[in-house]
Amino acid sequence: MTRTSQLGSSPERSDAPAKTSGALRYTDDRVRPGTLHAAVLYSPHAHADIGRIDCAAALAFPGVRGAFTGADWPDVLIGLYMGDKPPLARGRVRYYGEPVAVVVADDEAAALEALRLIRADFTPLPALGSPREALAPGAPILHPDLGSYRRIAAILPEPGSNVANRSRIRKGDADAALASSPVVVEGEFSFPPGDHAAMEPRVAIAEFGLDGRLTVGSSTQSPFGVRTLLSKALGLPERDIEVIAAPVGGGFGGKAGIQLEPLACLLAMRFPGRPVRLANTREADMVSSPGRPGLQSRVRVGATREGMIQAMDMELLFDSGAYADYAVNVSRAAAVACTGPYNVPNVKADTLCVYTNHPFATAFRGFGHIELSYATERALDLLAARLGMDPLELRLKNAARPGHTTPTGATLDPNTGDLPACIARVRERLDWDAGRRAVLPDGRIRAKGIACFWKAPAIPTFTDAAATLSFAEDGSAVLATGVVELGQGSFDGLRLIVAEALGMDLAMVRVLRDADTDRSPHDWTTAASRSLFMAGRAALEAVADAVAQIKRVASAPLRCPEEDLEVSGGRVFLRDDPEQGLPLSTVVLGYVYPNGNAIGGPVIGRGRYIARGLSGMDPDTGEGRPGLEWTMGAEGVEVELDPRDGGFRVTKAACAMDVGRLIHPALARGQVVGAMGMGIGYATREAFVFDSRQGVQNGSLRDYKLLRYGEEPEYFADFVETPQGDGPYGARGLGEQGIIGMPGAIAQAASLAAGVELNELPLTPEHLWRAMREARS
Amino acid sequence: MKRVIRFRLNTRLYEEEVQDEALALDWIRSTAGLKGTKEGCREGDCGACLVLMGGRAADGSTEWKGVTSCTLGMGDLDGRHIITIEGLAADGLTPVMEAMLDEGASQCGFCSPGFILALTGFLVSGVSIDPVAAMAAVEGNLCRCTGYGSIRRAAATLCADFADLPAGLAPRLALLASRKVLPPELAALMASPPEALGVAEAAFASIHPADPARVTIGGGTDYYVRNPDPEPDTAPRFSDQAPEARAIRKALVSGQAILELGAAVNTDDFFSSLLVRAMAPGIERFASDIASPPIRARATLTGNIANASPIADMTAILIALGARLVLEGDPGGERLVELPDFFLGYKKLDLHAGERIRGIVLPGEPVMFNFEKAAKRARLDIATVNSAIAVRMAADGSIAAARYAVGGVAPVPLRLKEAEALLIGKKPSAALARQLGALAYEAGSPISDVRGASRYRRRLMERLAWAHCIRLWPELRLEEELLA
Repeated sequence: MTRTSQLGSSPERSDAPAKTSGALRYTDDRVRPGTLHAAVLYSPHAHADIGRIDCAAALAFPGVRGAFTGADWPDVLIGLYMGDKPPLARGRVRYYGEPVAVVVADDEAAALEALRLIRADFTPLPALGSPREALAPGAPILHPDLGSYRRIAAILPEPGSNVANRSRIRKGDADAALASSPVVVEGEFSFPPGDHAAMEPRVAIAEFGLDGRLTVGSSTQSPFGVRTLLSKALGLPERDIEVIAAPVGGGFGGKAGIQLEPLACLLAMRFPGRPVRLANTREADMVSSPGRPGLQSRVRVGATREGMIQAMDMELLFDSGAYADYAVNVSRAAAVACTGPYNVPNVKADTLCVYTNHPFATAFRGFGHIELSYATERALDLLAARLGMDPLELRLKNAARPGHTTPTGATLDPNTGDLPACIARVRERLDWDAGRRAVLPDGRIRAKGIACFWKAPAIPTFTDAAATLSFAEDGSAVLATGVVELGQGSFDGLRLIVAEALGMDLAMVRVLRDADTDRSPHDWTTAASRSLFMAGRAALEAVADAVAQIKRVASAPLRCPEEDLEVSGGRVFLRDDPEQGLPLSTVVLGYVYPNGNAIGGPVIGRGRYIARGLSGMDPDTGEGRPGLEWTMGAEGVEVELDPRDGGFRVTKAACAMDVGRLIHPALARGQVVGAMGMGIGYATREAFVFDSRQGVQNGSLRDYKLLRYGEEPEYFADFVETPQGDGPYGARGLGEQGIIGMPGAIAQAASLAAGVELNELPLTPEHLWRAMREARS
Repeated sequence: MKRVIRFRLNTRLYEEEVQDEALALDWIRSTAGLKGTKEGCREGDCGACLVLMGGRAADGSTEWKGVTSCTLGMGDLDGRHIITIEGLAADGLTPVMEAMLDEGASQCGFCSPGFILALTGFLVSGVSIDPVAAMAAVEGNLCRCTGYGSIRRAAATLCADFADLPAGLAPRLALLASRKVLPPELAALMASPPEALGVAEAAFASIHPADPARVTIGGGTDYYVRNPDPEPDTAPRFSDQAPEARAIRKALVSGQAILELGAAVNTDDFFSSLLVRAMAPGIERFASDIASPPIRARATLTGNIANASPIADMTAILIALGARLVLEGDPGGERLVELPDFFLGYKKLDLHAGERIRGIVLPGEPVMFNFEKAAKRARLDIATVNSAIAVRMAADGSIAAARYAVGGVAPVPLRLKEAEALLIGKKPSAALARQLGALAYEAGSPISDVRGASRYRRRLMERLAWAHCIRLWPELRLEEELLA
């Protein structure tokens, strides 16, 4: 009974019918009658002392149940890796859009009406608009209590300064290698912070039951993480907290930390027995809830005349905004991978997470790797120009290969992807060798750019996943995990893995969707492109466990040793005589003999996974093994620039990625193409615009421009398959990576077209026009 | 204000007391309990809340449009038919849903209902069923997951499958029902919208009237962005409730042909009018430069004017076309104001207390017209600067008459009389285009803001002036000289 593998086929997404028909219920579609509604007053200042807040008139408004300020919870601090953020500002506001007060009312309209009646006095303070400003001597210290915040050990804040975390890499002797390098280039590269702009605004609906249990439905990527953090912030034990994650309408990292849940829960605890809904408007979602960090960086690269990189010396300053939250680990992740996927024997890097008075930053697709990649790729472009070398050849020459070491000194093992093969695919797709720059008949300039990327998940050393596999009367299997559906489609990948391992028809396998901390097996977080890998490993173990149980039960009626049995095609049978067997439906809930005697009972497969062999980083040198598996790839673009007014578009975008093993090609392509599209937006238009007092001027979709239909380029997504030895069927993570190289590739192409090095993002037409004009004069 | 209205939601007819000013989006989600309509931005920019709206066009026929329910007042539903994703899915997955599903065009799924409704609306009302038109139909919908590649494939599949749709609404609805794009019961109801209960008032007032509780809302596309949660005692009038207010008519005034545009003429009405197209041949190609399809279906010209934005696209176009406003005083008095003179200062209008905008008058003589706009993105954006020009040529090839409008360089939309004086009597040439560009460069006093720095705006103005000349007189091949 040989079966053909289902891996590598692209069956229809199992949730697509519910999504396309509008039947799928996201968190905010689950509001129950009797729910109270919260409305938040946001700070109009980026930095100010809070004077008196008068809620009396709001409290008197019909339908209002309560009005609260930071003073109501004087001790609560929240944050993922470092607890530095009050649920409502206390004493001072640190960013434009920071929640200052909240009204709870019977309906949303009353809450909004009453909100207008709150009088809040502010005394504006000087606002810090960039990491360099925040690090300058005499800069106001935004968190005087930095030394006393709860944090994990891997985070190294510097109390008395605005440095929320500093990670150091000291590999080899970068100073000496730079001094002896015949060619040294240096550049500064930067961009402002921005937003995830997932289509679903964040929402949390919390209820404090009369039994003392807290239940919160949230648009979160991290139900278990939220449970832990709520427990810490609210002083409730985990057993009294249930977090339910319905399918999420796009996350991109923005829903991976803790966000609206603590305030929603604190409010719910004031109104036991009634759910309280706290929902973001689009504006609040963009400005008040966390976005992505900005960057200021400086990179020096030393190389031989032949273009072999000898050393990198870099400083990456992450603009974390007012609170460090998740961003302290973003800057740390950037240190782990700081050189990009190149063999660099000597590295000196400081990556800092810096407080400013911007909206605070959290995880964003790529998790520090867009930032480091943009900085290193731009520096490599300067090096290529200095050497007169093709930028693709320079990258090929220095591509990281098995046996090389990462910046933290970990050796790349044979599981490492094949970067040269990826570069070769992009070279073909863009017809690279036909020339990188051409002037079109109408005067526009067409140019190409390339960048490489790598990424390992930035995760705790003990990151886990778990799965259970149970069965129904018809012999079909149901996998339960703690993974959250965000659009990435992990469930369909897991479904294929289970079907493959059970040798079962896909139609006979289901994966449960809502993640619920009371019911789902524990799972660290749906982030870091890890679900397919880790939950996939757990699912395989659950299958193996279930199969062993099935064999044990079936061995009795089949009168044979368990080891002679095989499970496939919905049956358990003798390997050497497949006709002798039983349908699974007669075994999975226990076998019943003709006389009524029964044995076995329901089969439940258990599967667990925990990251293998990870260690922290040495605080002085960064040495360690923090990266589990490295996904590598190359990306290239073709752009067209109108030199007369800066008009600019990306016409082609190609990505080649070594994914180990393609499980579900259509889903993989969807992730890679979506990430490329997002990367184009990131590089060409998306960023907050601040006024002189650091207020956000474009906190709405009218003025914060996302890529629209018709603006997308022609996409090419190619896959290289060098199996990941410890991945499920050789697969490794791929959800984020497609975004990482885009800003670097686009900046390279645009710089070539414009004839001037473009070292700041976003590359808007006006920015390009101005840079070209300045270069001419 | 509370009022009883009559409307249909999917297949169900409602005679229901509603809050006039409340948003249709909230009513659909909370009162009707249909959660497939999503709130993504609450200002008409993302299309997650898109629904199909049927009603009477100016000529009494039934029309169907995709509209954003977050800029739609409940009071405006009187006499209308709304279709949500639940209505489409009543009999199971439709071919539009299947196409999205087959191409992997639904990832997180939050935007999917809006895209599916927009594409279905395109099959119901699209003039030509081809991939370019399909693309235009979903330009008002944002997706953050797919990068649009898969959505493009889904749209192309649909265009191939439905290339043979008949032209009239009734046969088309029948065919779409037989091919399961629309549930048959729903399709049967779509031919005729319900009768409204209320009485319509046509005139459009400023949106900054003396009595804020008595605003007149045109399409709501600006009003609701500014007032996402209007106070419950607001008693708005909806100018587009009277089909005749959307009429565009030809009239003779002292022997001269003019065009009269009603107070509720919206952007779609304007660009699809044969009378407008006869007056300014080719003007319809600029429709896609203005906002997005669900906004064009609702945004009225008088609303755009009353909103008084210095970079309003339709205002610049109307200034170049020589528009005058018909203002109606409360005791019946009436006066005409040249459109550029209507703007006294930033958001300040020449509108007396009690006066309302009753309509727009355009000179009827044919002109050569061009519109240019520069924005951060190529399309669907609020302009950084815009400009419109209308000219008439003399028999000898010289310019007999010209009107030149610019937006985004001053607190008010401007008519550039110096530019017009420069052009009149001259024959177009590269040198003339350069002179025009120099004048445009100096026009107004552009500010620097989130949409562009002052100097860049000037440079764009110059470029737009050149573009006008290149497009108006393609036979002169000016681009070779200007853009060398």
